[in-house]
Amino acid sequence: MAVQVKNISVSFPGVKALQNVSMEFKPGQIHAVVGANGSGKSTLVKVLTGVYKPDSNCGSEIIIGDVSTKSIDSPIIASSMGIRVVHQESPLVKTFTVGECVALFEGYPKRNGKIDWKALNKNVKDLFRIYDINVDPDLLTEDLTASERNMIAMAIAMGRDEKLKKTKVLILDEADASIPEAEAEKFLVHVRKIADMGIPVIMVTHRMKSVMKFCDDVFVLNDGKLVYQGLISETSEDLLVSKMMKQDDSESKANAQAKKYTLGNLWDALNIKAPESTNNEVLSMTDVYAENIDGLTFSVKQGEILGIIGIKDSGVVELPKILGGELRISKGSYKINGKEVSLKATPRSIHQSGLSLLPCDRPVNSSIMPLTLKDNVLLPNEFRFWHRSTLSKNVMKMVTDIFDVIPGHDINMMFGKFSGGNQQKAILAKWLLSCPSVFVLDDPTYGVDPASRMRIFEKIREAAEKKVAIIIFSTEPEQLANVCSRIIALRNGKVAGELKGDELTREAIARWCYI
Amino acid sequence: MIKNFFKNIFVKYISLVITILLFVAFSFASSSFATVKNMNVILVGRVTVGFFALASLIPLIAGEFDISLGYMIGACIMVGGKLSTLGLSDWSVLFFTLLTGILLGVFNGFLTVTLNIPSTISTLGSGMIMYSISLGLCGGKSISNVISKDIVKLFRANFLGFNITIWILLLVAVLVFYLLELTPFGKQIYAVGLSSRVSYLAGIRIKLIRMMSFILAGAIIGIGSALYLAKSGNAYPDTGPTYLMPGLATVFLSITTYKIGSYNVPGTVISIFMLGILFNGVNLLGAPFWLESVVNGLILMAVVLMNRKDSRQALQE
Repeated sequence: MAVQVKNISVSFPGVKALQNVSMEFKPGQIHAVVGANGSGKSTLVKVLTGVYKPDSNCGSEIIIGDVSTKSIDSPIIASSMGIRVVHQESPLVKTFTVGECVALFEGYPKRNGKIDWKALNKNVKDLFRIYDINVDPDLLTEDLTASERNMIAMAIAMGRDEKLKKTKVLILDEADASIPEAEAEKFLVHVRKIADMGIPVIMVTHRMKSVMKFCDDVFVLNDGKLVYQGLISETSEDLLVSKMMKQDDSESKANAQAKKYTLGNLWDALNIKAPESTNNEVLSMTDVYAENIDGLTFSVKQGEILGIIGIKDSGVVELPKILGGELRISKGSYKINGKEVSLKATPRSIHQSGLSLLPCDRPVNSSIMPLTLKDNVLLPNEFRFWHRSTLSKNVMKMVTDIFDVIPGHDINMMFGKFSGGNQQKAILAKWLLSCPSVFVLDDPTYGVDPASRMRIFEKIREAAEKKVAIIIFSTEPEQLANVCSRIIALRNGKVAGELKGDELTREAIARWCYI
Repeated sequence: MIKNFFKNIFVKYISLVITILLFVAFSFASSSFATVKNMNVILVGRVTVGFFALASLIPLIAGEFDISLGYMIGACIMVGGKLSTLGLSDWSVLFFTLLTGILLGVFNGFLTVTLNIPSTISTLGSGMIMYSISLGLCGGKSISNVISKDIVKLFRANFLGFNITIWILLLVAVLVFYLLELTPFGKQIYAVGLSSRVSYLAGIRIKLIRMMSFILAGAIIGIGSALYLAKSGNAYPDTGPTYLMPGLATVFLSITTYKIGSYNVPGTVISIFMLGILFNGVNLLGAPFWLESVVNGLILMAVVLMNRKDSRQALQE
């Protein structure tokens, strides 16, 4: 029985997450749903699982088998309709055995009021037999491989007997994202078996390789719209990637009104000297090992804007943390300004040796909402401003002018009351204030409005002109084409390619990130 | 504009307004209330609670809850008492009482920061140890005449109508205020307490800051204990725990005033006045002796309720 969604639109204040999307998922087939971050993939999953409701006036229709409804009102209803989901986050408890984890969802069989462990083991083995999983129920889940954990998560989601009979559709919500490619393939072989039972499978993923190898057809979402659908046999990776790319984000005339102050004025006011010119590399890594990083070598020169891209398990997630001193390297040489960084580096020591990191995930890592704008901007540098209220007032005046922080007149307003874009500009100011010789930005434009994004890129360029070396990571990598002077692509923890000059196009970047 | 101004004052200094209202009401109700002498009595009775409140304020701002401070008062006092029986001079007894507070603060910091035990657990444990110290040192008996009469007389003297220890408490409050609100160190304590992760990535030495918060708390408890000995002259092993509830009520109340939503010194000072006046007033009116504990407990709960985000925002709107 097929599963269909028709005319689905979902709006949030100021954003249209999905616009009039219709799709059909056929029994026995694996359907890939792909798209860049923010394209509406996860919104679609949430509509199907009862977390979000489609807009009431869009004429939406969701057909699951022979049931048709306007919207699914809660996850419990979704489950009772036969919708099964495997999420990216594992439902297994690390310190439990496999059997106990299954029992959390299916209940413990009892005998004379006590847990009947033998029956539980048998139940679990019966369950696993259906899905061809060969795992001992007495093992601890933390001792399993990633693909085994995923398979068990899927088995739990699908269930057996009555529950399995009721299953109408299986959704894999980036279930393979956090496991290495080879492991993911083992898992997907099992997914194919489920499709063969005559169940439609919806696979939301970032991995183009898996899509091409395991799926039957593909839907591409872009900015909430369904922009492409077709059979895998009639498409190619390049075509899909070109469909996924954001339409050029209006490289518009960011209101180029003249600013009263420049970064140079700011540093002068603080008596900080801009870095002296040198032709040497200000940062270099040679044969570095740590977590996913596997023999990485690269370097940056003064005034360069280097973008670093790669898929999730390429090491691109860990590298900013290693550069910033939060993760330590196990082997290799890491130099800032020609000086070797100690293996025991901390964010503090890295900061002192001249590297500043703007971390990703602003609410968690870089802003303290209940403090004021001023306290947030001056946070790592309070000693410069002790007993110098005129200086701090002047600096804040320059900061709000240079970085366009709005509203800039009330520097004692709670940080949480500023919009995301303005918060991010203020955090950018906070790190540029100390004039680092290397400035690492981890996803500086995430959740930032287009106008603020333009301003952020503009300030990054200005800093680079002032001889600061810049390294940028981004979850929206195509944007880097506009700002970077050079881009390196990571794969398996090593540099796999480099883009410079004419090669540095949005298409080329997308190819490295999604394939 | 003017309306807003008064509204702001009213919201920011609500407990000051209540204090004044209480003061006026009790002045009408009892003629013996509004005298300098009675005010002095009220405040002298709150001095040790005041030191307790100022001490626990600093770890609370740094995101740590030091439960041991009540027991620490007892331990400091009994260490002082014990040393006096060994024949140490008055001033060195007072000095070692203060030092004991600092060392116990280091101990708390070591347990919580170095060994990484959650502060509620580590200080609950260390508090029990301190209680044993205060009981065990002198076999559970109290020690009289720890400090000689001359020095006790000195600390019982008044200045401008108020006891000297009240002025010392005020001085310490001013110093703590300066430290917390006007120095980089203070900004960092607030930052660490609100988000240790952001602070860590910003290059703040969060372990040092947390450690210092415990040591400062110990030092303030040490000063309070030394003054207690100097003023009363006697050491009772049961002294400490009785300060826990009134002290916590005082410091928790501080979040309703000055910096709404976070613990602060001006709020704490006003709370000391407010609770002092409240309990003295109702006692004069003949309220039962057990009422104070009930009120302390109610304050703790009410403040935590008020501190919920939604009601706090409603207050600020």
